[in-house]
Amino acid sequence: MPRPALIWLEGPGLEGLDREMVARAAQVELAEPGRGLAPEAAVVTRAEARTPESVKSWLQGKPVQWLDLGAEVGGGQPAHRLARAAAAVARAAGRAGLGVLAPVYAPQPAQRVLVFGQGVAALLAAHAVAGLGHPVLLAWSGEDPSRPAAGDDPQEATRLGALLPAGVELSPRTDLTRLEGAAGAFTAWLEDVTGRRAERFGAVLLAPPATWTGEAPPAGLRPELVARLDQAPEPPAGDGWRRVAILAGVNGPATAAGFSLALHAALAMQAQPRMQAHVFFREALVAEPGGERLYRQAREAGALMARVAEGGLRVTAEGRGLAWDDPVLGEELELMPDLVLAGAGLEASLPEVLRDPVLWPQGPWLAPEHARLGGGRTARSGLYLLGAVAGAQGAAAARVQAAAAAAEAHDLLGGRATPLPVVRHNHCASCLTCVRVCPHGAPRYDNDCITPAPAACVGCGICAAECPAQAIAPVGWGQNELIEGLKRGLALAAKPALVVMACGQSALPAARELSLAGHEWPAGVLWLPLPCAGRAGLELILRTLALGAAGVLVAGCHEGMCRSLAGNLRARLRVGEAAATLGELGLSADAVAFLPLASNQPLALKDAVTALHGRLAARGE
Amino acid sequence: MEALVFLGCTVPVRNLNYEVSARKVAEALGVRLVDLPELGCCGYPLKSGDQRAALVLAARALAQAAATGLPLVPLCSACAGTLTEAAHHLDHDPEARAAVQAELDQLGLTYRPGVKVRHLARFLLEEVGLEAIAGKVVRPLTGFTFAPHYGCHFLKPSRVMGGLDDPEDPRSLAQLIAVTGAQSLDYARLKDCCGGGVLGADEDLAGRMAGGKLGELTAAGVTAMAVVCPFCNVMFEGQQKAIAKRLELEIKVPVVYLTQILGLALGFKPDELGFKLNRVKPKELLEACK
Amino acid sequence: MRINDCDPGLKYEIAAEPGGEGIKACFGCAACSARCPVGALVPDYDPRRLIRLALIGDRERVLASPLIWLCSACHGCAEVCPQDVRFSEVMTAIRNLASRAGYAPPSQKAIAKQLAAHGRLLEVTDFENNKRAELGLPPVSEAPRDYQTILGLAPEAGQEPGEGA
Repeated sequence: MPRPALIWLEGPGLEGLDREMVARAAQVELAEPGRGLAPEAAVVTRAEARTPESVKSWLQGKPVQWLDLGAEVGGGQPAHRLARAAAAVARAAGRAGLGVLAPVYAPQPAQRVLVFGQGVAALLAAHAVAGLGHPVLLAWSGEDPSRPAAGDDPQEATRLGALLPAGVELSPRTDLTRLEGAAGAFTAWLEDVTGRRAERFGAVLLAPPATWTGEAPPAGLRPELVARLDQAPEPPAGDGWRRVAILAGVNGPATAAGFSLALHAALAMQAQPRMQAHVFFREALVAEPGGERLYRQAREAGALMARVAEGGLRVTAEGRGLAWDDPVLGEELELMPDLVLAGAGLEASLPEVLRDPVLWPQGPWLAPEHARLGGGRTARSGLYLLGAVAGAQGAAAARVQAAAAAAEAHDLLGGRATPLPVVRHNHCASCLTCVRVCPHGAPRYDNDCITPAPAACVGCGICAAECPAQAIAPVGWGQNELIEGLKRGLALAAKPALVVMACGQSALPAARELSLAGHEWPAGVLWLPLPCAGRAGLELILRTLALGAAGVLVAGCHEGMCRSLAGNLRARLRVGEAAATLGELGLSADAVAFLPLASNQPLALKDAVTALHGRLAARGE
Repeated sequence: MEALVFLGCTVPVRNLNYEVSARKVAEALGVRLVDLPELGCCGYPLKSGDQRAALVLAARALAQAAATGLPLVPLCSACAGTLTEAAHHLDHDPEARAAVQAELDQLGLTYRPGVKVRHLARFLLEEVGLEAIAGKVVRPLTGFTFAPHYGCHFLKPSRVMGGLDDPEDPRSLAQLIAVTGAQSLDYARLKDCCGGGVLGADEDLAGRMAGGKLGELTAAGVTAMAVVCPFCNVMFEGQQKAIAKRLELEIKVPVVYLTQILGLALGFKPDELGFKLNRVKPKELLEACK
Repeated sequence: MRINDCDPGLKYEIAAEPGGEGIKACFGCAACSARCPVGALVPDYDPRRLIRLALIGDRERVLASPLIWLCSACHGCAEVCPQDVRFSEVMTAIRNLASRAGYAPPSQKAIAKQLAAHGRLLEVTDFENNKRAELGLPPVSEAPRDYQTILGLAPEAGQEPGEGA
């Protein structure tokens, strides 16, 4: 095994530390960067992004652990800082010392991209992806690529359809009957008049066309007064003032596109002489780009707006009138309209192909409120849902989605190096647990063995935590590597030792913030950074305790916020199982805990670590 | 420097102390105030009933001023606001200007854009400058505190009157007070309206609007309130006793014009500045400046 | 209130009057009502409510209302409005419409008469000019003829035209 050397680069957080003492305590040699031959393996005291190019090129080809030492040391008494520094260096050295990892064969991801759908959202997606240099197949069930979907601006659709760039191949009158695979290796079955064919794609963008779903008008209104907003209603005839009531999301859920439709109808009505439009809504959904301006335009044209609460619009006068309470005037107003336009909402449904429970078991697909998904992205790498189905209520939002999806697909398929799961086939029992638990679609069962998809892995490590045989892990995050590092770190850590398994999306940034502020962690706190809390797993938690840690705190993202959908949930469950196991063994179950937090909650982390460590110290374990 | 003074309706008849002190201060600061006897009412009182006619009245004054080529300097905030707004409106709306010119043709006058309308206080700040004023102070009013009252037409609407000060955080009059060596009070009701605009419609309401400020300043114990508009003076000085009685409040606030304060600091004697005509006199101040 | 009894045309009349152009932009945020010093003392006086009544077209409660004469023209509303309605100017527009419809309070007529008679709100006679002379102030004159022309009014019988007429 190569012996790692310590490359000490000064930086924030390292002031006052004696590098020689740290190296000696961690049992590693110091090496001057650039002086002579590079060591066989190295631990560098700075993150890779902040290390000078000269050092990086000197270390080219060697196993290197980039250790943001300043963040792990923090402030406080010199003796504690020294101990923390030594433990961190030792743990990193343990991982670096595992040697050069054998290069893993990575099949090339397919470069062709499928865009399936109709309307402005699909056209924007085709433009965006082709613009980044990928060949695109634009397939849809209709005839004309410029045909607008509900809610689309017809002129925009025509323009986009006419200006499709050279790299876009068209496949009209085509159905998508089956979809399998993951980023870099999707297989789509496309059916048209010529028959059925399977084609390979690197990424898939689905833009199911939206439809207008009508809102039910208030019960009791005379039906001859009611028309649907989305069906180009005729203004009522007559000589005197005529009044039109437009319902923009009164009885049903409103959408921004529906509100916009209502305002356009109001403008059309106001353009008629002696016509007064009254627009009723529960909420004025104007947050879409252009929404505020349209709202003002309608008011300037003379349309009157009335905000009503749920159930606040009542039917009167034997179905001929509408009444509501005006909060500004503090009285009831009654209107006898000549026409009532019932509102509509813009909706699209999940494509059929994704409803196959065997091929696509993971969900939720659509989570626009998710902090890490949304904007067209799903947890499945390389698969994007665009348009109204993903919450886009207008061309501006669709454009953002298309750009985001195209940029990410481009990254996956060409530019960025993605982590790869490494499979030890002599250990693998083909139980398919990894296939089942991975939300990104990275492990594939192909040719009787587990093969990683070329571009789908995000390195969360959930597969490694859940595999019963430890046969799979993203490169660098295998069980042995982590345990080796823990061993060396725990050997140096003060007792009682508390290992904090810190998720890279939440706990680690919070810890970094505290360290940079000079926070002093109690002696004995040992950090184990993880890509996702889901990497922890029952085995690793118990092994850590067996290696001499007094306690384990797994810190991950809040519910609903995990980049890998359920990594945090798994971590919480495994911590619970570990606690139960401890209880059965007659040990204190509260030596292990799960902490949900966000990256901007450093104090929550501080409090939890201090509390747990305090409990362990008081017990004298 | 020269400026055409616009006296308006009220000042030359009811507020001679303002006019006298204004002329003395202007002269001492090197500003020659030119009079034009044909100037009459700026049109403000007519706006609510017939704003088109009111605009013509304002245009008349502006046309007469344009003929002299001098900047137009009103003493009354309502006049300053009205004339500034009228000039702004006519300079930006060619249709309105054509309609007004048709009326002015009957009077033999021509409206010409470019007349600079500025309240005297603003004119002193912008054209003379605080430094020059400070240089002429011979009797610093140290130890005295004045509460500036900006009123509503000195700085608003900011769209038209803008460039001098922020109506929501005004400092200009405070600066003019501070240059005399006196303290300028920053108080809660600094930006309150005097209520003068509704005195004709509802005396009680107007009194309540002015009464709040008078009450606060009585408690604060200032040397005097400093005003720059005769309407505000009517409310705070003229109506002071009536308001105190109606609201059953203890009110004792001397009300002076800003130009009277400046005049004292520039060395004039109280009698030269029309203090005899002030109804609620700032006794200590006048003693000190005898 | 029955909307069908109201006049949707009122808001266009106000918008056509100088100063009233911004009324339809209002979306009812009540910043004006919050800022209004009169509204703070008179609960029924509410700029936002007035705008709403005007937009709906309740002529009676707008043009014939005594409330519209309570505005002190402080321009506070215009300063805070996020939609540039300029309610202080809208109020002037409404008052003008009300005056033309015959709802002006008597003081308005008195003002016009005074201006036609003297060219000023306050009469200037020898008495006033003597007082001015005592203080060293130049005399002031009256020039009512121009005002009569503009207002289309003749001076009242018996009124002295004054100096410089």
